[in-house]
Order: sequence, then C-alpha cells, then structure tokens
Amino acid sequence: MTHRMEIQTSGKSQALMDKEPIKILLVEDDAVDCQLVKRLLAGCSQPLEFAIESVGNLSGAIKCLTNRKYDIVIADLGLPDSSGIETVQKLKRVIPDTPIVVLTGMGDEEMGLSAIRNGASDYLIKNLPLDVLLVRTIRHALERKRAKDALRESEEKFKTLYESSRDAIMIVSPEKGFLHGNLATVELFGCKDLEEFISKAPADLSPQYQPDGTASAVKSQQMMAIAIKEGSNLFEWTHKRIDGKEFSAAVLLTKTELKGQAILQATVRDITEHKKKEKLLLDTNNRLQETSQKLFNTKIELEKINVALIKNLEMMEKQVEERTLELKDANKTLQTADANLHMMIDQNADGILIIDNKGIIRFANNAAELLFGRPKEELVGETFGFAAVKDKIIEIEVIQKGGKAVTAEMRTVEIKWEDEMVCLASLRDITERKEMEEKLKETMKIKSEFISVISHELRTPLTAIKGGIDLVLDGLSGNINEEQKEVLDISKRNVDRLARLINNVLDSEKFESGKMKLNIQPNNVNEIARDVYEIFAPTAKNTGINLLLELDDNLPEIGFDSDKITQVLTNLVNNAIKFAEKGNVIIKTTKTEDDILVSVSDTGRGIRKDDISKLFNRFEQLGRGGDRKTGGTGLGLAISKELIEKHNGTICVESTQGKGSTFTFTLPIECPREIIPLLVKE
Amino acid sequence: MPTELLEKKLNTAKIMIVDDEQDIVFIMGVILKKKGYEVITACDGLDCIKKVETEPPDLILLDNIMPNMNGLAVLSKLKASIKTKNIPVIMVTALADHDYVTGAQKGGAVDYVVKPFDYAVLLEKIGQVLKSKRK
Repeated sequence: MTHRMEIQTSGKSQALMDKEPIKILLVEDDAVDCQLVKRLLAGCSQPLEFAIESVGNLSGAIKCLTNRKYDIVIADLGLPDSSGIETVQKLKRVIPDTPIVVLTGMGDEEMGLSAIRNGASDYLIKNLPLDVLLVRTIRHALERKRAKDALRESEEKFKTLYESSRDAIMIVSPEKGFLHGNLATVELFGCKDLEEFISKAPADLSPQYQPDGTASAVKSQQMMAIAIKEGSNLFEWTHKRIDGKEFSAAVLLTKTELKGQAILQATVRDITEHKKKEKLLLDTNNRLQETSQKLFNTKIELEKINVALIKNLEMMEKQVEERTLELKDANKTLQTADANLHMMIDQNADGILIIDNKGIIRFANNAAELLFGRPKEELVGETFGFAAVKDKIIEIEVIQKGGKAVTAEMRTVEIKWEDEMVCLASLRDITERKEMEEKLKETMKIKSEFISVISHELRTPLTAIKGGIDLVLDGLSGNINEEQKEVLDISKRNVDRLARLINNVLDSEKFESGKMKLNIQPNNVNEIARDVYEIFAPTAKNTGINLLLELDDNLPEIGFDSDKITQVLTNLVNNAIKFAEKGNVIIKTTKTEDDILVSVSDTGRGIRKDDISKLFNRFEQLGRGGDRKTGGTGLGLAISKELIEKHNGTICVESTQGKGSTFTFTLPIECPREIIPLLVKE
Repeated sequence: MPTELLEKKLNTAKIMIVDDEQDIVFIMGVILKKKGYEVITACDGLDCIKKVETEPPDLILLDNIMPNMNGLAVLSKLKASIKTKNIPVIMVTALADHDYVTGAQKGGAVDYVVKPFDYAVLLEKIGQVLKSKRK
C-alpha cells in the first residue's frame, strides 16, 4: 500500500496536491502570441502548475481582475483599447499588489524599463526565445511579490505591536535625543502628537534632579552610557510630563543599531500605580506582619492558656480521682457501717421486730428468731399475736414451737420504716430473770420463815426461863432471901434484854422485807405511857432513878398500833434509865394542833453533836468503847424511827452535853388514810 | 397471907393451858395454881378439842405453833362449836406478826400475849377476861 501511495504522490500530482495552481491572467490581443505563451507554460516541466485565462483587451482584463483574484498578470502593452505605459498604470490601479509582467516588442526595451518604473514587476521581450526566460521571469516576479508581501506583513505586524503596546516604547539616540515614540509614549508624556514628542529632549521630560539628587541631564547620559556598554539597563526614573506632573517610571534601555549607528530602544512604564500598590502591598504586608505577630502572640497566649488549662484539667482530674477515692472510701465506710449496723441489729441480744400497722411482722433479727424458736423466714409475713402498746413496757409470754414457754419484756416505739409508720418492738427474754426473781422470792420467803422459826425457837425457851424466874421471884414457890432475889433480878433483866433483842431482830427483818404492818386501833397515848411507867417503875427505883409521869389529861383518842408505840416508848425509857445513871427520867405527853407529842427526857451526860446524826442509824451505838456500860444491838432507835415514821410521825432528839437529852416523837391526830384502822374493838 | 387468900378465893376459874412445850405448861401451871386457878392442860390442838368436850374450862390459853394443828385452826374449831364457842381464848404466841394478830382477833380470840411474856401482864389479862365474862 505504502509503495503504491509513493508512486501516486510522485511528480506532478504531488505539486498539484501541495499547491493550488498559479492562476495567470494573460492579456494578449495577438492570438499567436497567446497560443505561444500557453503552449510554453503547458509544456513546461517545471514544478509549477498554471491555470491560464486569457483576455484580448484591457477592459476584459479589468473585468476579470475585478471579479477574481489572480496570482500574476502577463500583459501585452499594446492592446486594442490601451497601449504603452498607460496599460500598466491602469492595471496597477486595479491590482496594486499583484505582480505584472509586461510583454514588449523587440527593440522596445525602453518601454519595459518604463513599465517597471510604473509598477510592473518585470518585462519580457517578444521574439526572443521565451521558453526558459518566461518561466524564470514569472517565478522572479512571484518571489519578489512574496518577499515584498512578507516584509510588509512583518512591518505591519511590528508596527501594530509597537503602536498598540501599552508600554511607552521610544527610540533614543544618545547624541540626537528622541527619534521616535509609539502612541503610548505620546500619551504618557502628555504630548499633542509624535512631532511634539520628538521635539523634546530627554531632559525636558524629567525634573531637574532625580530623587537621589543627581541632575537628570547628567544621570540620563550615565544610564544611556551603561546601556550602550552593557547592552541593556533597567532602572527607575522620575519623569515629568509636558504639563509638569512628575511620575515614577521603570525604564529599560536596550542597545540596538540603526544604519550602523548605536541607538537605544527605551521602554518606559509608569509605575506610580505600581508604586502605590507596592506601598499598599508593603503596608498591607506590614499590617499582615503585625497581624501575624499579633496572631502569633495570641497563639502563644493561647498556648499558655492551653497549658494552664491542661494543668487545671489534670489537677481537676486528679481531684476528681481523689474525690472518687474519697467517695469510694466513704462508700466503703458507709457499707462497713451499714454492715456493722446490720450485724449489730442481727446480733443484738434483744429480739427486734418491725410490725406494720396491719400487725404483720416485716422484719425479725436473730434474737427474735431464737426467742420465738422459729426461723426469720417463717416469722416475716406472719401476724404478730400481741397487742403492741406504744412507749410502754409490757410482759408477754411466748410459747415456742416445742411448747417451751418464754417470758419476754416488750418495749414498743413508733418509727418510720420504708416510708410508713410501723412499730419497732424490742423483745428481751426475761425468762431467766423471772426464774431468778421467783427463786429470790422463794429465798426471801424461806429466810422469812427461817427467822420466824428461829424467833419462835428462841422465844419458847425464854418463856420457860422467864416464867420460872418470875415464879420464884414473886415468892410463889416460897420465900426467898435478899441475895436470892438480887440474883434472880439480874436473871430477869437479862432475859428481858434477850427478848427485846429477838424482837428487834425480827422487826428489823420485817422492815427489810416490807412485811412490817401496823394494827391501827383507836387508843390513848396516856395509857401506853402509864403501862410503860408501870413496867419500868421497879427497875428505876432499884437503880435510884426518879421516873416521873407528866401527862396531858385532855389528849384525844387517836389511831395507832399500841404494841408498836409501846415498843418505841419502852425503848426510849429503857435507854433513858440506862444512860441517866442518876436524877430524873420524865415521860411527858402533850399535844399541838395537829400532833400528840410524847417525850422522854433524862438528866444524863447528853449526846455529842457529832453523834446525834448517827443515833437513828441501824447498828450504830454511841460511845462504843471502854466506857460502854450498857449493852444493846443498836437497833432500838432505828426501829423506833421506822415505826414512828410508819405512823406518819416524826422522832427527834435534843441534847445538851452534861445536862441530858430529850427524845420526842409525834403522832398525827388526824388518822392518815393509808393507815385506817384495820380492826374495830369489840 | 390475906391477899393470897383473897386472890385464891377470887380465882376459882378453870383455865386450860394448850401448849406442846411441856416446860412452859408446867411453869404456867404452877403460877396459875399458886394464884388459885384450877388448871387443866392439853399437849396439842387435837388434845385440846377432845378435852374441851369432856371438861369445858372457863378460859383457854392457846399456843399457836404446835404439831398436827396450829392455834388459829384450833380457835376456829372452838368457835365453830356451840358448846365451846363462848369459852374465851387468849392466844399465847412466839410469833406476833400482823397476819397472825389479825387472824386471831378475826377468829374470836379475846386477847393475845407474846412469848416470852411477863407473868404479871398475863395474869392481869386473865383477870380482866374472867371479870368481863362474869358480868
């Protein structure tokens, strides 16, 4: 394929393909000549192809040329409607740019040259061998035209560039000043036209001095010299317009040559705006830098803050951690406390129950489990069978599963539990305590009985002894002498003492066990006083004591236990006789508005102040020691005090050392309600 | 002794002494006889009840703590029988607590003495009881 193509594209055909055939208009009135030219061109083996049209006169030619475009015109100057130079001129008017080759006759070379002067490209002389020359001439004409076209085109192109450039471009000669300037130059310097511009010297278009202080005339020469020497020079220059206005410019001088002379092409650009912009840019840049610095500073501050924040955060995290730990600890403590509390409740010795207002057991601890003898699970949910009395301690008896009875002391309080009011019952197993109490009661009873038996057992033989002594002493068994009587008196006194001792012990026990009861009956105190007087009169007489009675005869009958009051008075008189040693012992009765007073006074040694407070204490006996003459258990006054107080009376003593003592007891006239007579005399 | 004779003449009553203590019975008996009283004795409650039937005394001195039957029980038996209910009883006791005294008075005893008693006191009480009985 490729091979065939090569064959096809060779020779003429290639020329045909590459180029349009050269269009020729042949203007020739002579048919032979016309035929000749055609034949010559057609038989030509040149690499040119021609498309030939022919016309016989000028008007036909002008018509053709007006309608169509031709590459070249070959014209005979001698035409029917035109001849000579006129033909060239007329054609040239129609086709100024199309090459024209004229054909002239032999010997008419002058005409050919004239044609060239009038715009023809070449001339050919007819009748000379035309074959080679013709084609060469056509080619030369065409080439010339082509070169001329190219030059013109290039010139126009550059001129357009030159003139339309927004930069001011000018030609300057160091010697002659401005040679030329483009449109922009004229505008730049504010000139009327190019003429005006060229008429100005470079110094005219600059201020006297440049900003660096150099004179513009001097400096411009320097700048141009540098450009000539180095080929180019770019610098800033301050220019001045025709109207005197100055402006900054960037000037580029480029060395070039014109007709063998070194000249300069100058490009001047107004950089005022640029400068402004530059300044603005600089300012903006400065501001940007400032802003940037500020931003940088801000960034540093922010970083510092960030660091601080991080530190704070870390601290807070640490604190949170610590708090969490504390909370954990607290929680643990709370849990422990809760567990402890739970354990305390569970391990509490008292049974604890929570009973709601429907009487249902809601909670039970270990002790409750033990108390009821049933597991918690069974107790919770059951009805509590006992009435819970708020804020009161009651005893309840619980029968355990096995039938064992347990006594419990129950204390109930109302509390809030799980948002409702419930009873919290504390149950204490008091079975053992109860048993102990029973045992104690029994023991007390045994003791009491024992004391009864003992006193009975002691009194019985005393009765026989006393009876025997009385019998003999009274002479019922026959007369006795003084010595015998004296001995028996001593015996009798000691038997009485023993009897009193036994009575005191017994009374003491009665007070202790709370069994001392009074047998209150209406009585007159004077009778008691007389009885006691009777009893002690003989003894007093024997010991040389003056026993006296001073009774108030107007005493009312009042309620009292005569045996007990007799016992008290006996005790007081006995003591008085014992301690008086000599002098008087006076039994005296009086009354006040409310009380009856009974006093026993003696003229003995008296009682020391310190001892008075101890007098009525049990087992206290005064003067215990070497000078103790008289016996006794020390129970007498204590029992007397208790007996009198049991009657709602009082007992007291007044004593002056060396002068004697007075014991006084009172009995209320109004019989107290609690000791209302139990018996009424028949 | 004119006073002694007078006493003996006055004290013609028959007194029963009830006590399980033979020493006391003996001494009391001697004293009362010396004072002119006729004395009969019983060694315990049952003996007393038995003898009271056959030989009713003018006054009974009744001990409390005795075997078989105590004084208060004997008292209530005596007071329960028509034959014996008017015989005055003086309780003689070694144990004169409140309950006993109350029980004795409620049971119908006219008086009581606590051992060891003063014979003068006892004789006076006997005299008073017999005197009021004669009235």
